This record gives sequence, C-alpha cells and structure tokens, in this order.
Amino acid sequence: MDVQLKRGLLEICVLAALRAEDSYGYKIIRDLSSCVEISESTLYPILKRLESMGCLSVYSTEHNGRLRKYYRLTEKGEDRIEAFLREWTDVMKMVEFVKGGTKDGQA
Amino acid sequence: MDRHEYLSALKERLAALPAEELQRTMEYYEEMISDFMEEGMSEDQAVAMLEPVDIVAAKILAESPSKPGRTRNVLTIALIALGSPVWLSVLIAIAAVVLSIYAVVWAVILSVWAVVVSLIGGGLMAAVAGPFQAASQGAIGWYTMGAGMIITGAGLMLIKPSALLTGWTGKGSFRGLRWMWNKLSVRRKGI
Repeated sequence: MDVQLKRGLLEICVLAALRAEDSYGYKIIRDLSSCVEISESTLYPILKRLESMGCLSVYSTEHNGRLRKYYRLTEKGEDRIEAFLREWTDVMKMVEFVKGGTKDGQA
Repeated sequence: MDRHEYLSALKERLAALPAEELQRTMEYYEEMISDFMEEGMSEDQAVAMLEPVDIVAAKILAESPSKPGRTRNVLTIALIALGSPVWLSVLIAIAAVVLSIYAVVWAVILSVWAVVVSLIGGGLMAAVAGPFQAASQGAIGWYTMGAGMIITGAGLMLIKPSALLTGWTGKGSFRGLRWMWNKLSVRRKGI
C-alpha cells in the first residue's frame, strides 16, 4: 500500500481505537492488531502527530507503581473520524464498481 | 539484551534530540517494555518485541523536523553570504554586457535617424540653393535643385520606417528589461 495512504489510515484507526475509551500505547497496538499489525515505533510518531494536530490529548496516571500515559480523543479527533468516513463512502462506491466490473468479465 | 541496555543504547543514539522530546520518547519506550512485561513476558522477551535500536532511532530522527530544518536554513544563508561577492561580480558583469548591447542597438537607431536628418537637411539645402546656382552657373543649378528635392523626398520617405523601427526597438528594450527584472525577482523569492 502507498506509504502516505497507509499512514493516513493508521492515524484514523488510532483515533477510532480511542473512541470507546481512553487508551495507552500497548493497548492501542493490541486493539488495532485485529485489523493491522503496527509496531510501537510506527505508533509513536502517529501519536505525536495526532497530538500536535489537537486530535487527542495526553495525560498520565499512576498504574502499578509507575506512571502510564493515556490518550484521550478530542472533539477535533471525533470530527476527523467523521470526515474520514464521509470521504471513504465515495471510495467504497468506486471499489464496489470495480469489483462488479471484474465479475461480469468486462475489462 | 536487557531493558537497561536497550534503553541506554536508544538514548545514546537520540542524543541529538531536544531534551523534552528525548525525555518523552524514552518514557514511551520504557512504558512499552513495562506493558509487555505486565502481559507476562520476561524482560528479554519484552525487549525482543521491540524493533532493533538502530531502526527505532533512525525512524525517530527522521520524524524530528526542528534541528535538520534549522541547520538547512543556516547553511543556506551561510552559503549565500559566502558566495555573494562572486554573485555580485557575475551580476555586474552581466549588467555591463546587457548595457553594451542596449548601447549598440540604440546607436544603430541613432545612426538611422542621422541618415534621415542628413538626407532631408542636405536635400533641402540643395533644393533651395539650386535656383541660386542656376542663376550664376546655368542648367546645373536646376539639376542641383532636382537632386536636392529627390534626396529630401527620400529622407521624408524614410521617416515612417525609421519611426517604426524605433518603436519596435523601444518595445523590445522595455520587454527585455522587464523579463530580466522578473528573472531576478524570481531568484530573490526562491531564496
């Protein structure tokens, strides 16, 4: 897949992972693993970028005697997810069209 | 490799990062290892889950925009400053050449008008003097007058073409100057 495209998609996936509840690094990777395998070194810059764009906020909480960073989805992040879903409805239509064409044996 | 080894190695490679960014990065990786271990992995297993230190460091440094960006700007400015004497000389040389070309072209235009003026002036003088010459020297005076009139006529006929030529040269000069100005301005914006 195109690197930029994948990057953009991963960003949205990370945001979606925070929709249900605030989450932390390892858990995000685990939640995403059902759809895509990403390494922690791939996740880190994505989290940084999303934070700088204001799509998520960060806070630290004590956990088992150490500090753990949690990420929370912001309203801007929610908007970004909605925008993504709207854009990709059109993309899905085109994918269906392409799939339909191949089935009928048309070039 | 144990936890401490991995984190030290990573920290070493990331030394170029700004202090705050370095701190945050290290916290992230420390946390990641702790989380792996909480899931039941041993320290070595947890570290093994991470990508090699070199690759991780390279990825992080590639993301970090501030330092390379700054260096680039300072470098560009330094290069320009260093190169400017040469630049300036080249610019002056080019300007001199351009000026010479313009001078030559307009000198030609000037000569054309000089011809026109001489033809008309000389022709008129001959035409006027002709009758007086006829009075003292006879027929040749009429020839002089006739020749003078022809020459004046030629001069007059050349006025229009000369004017057109001057016009074209003028427009061309102006466009040339404007083109050169644009080229220079673009370069300045590029910097």
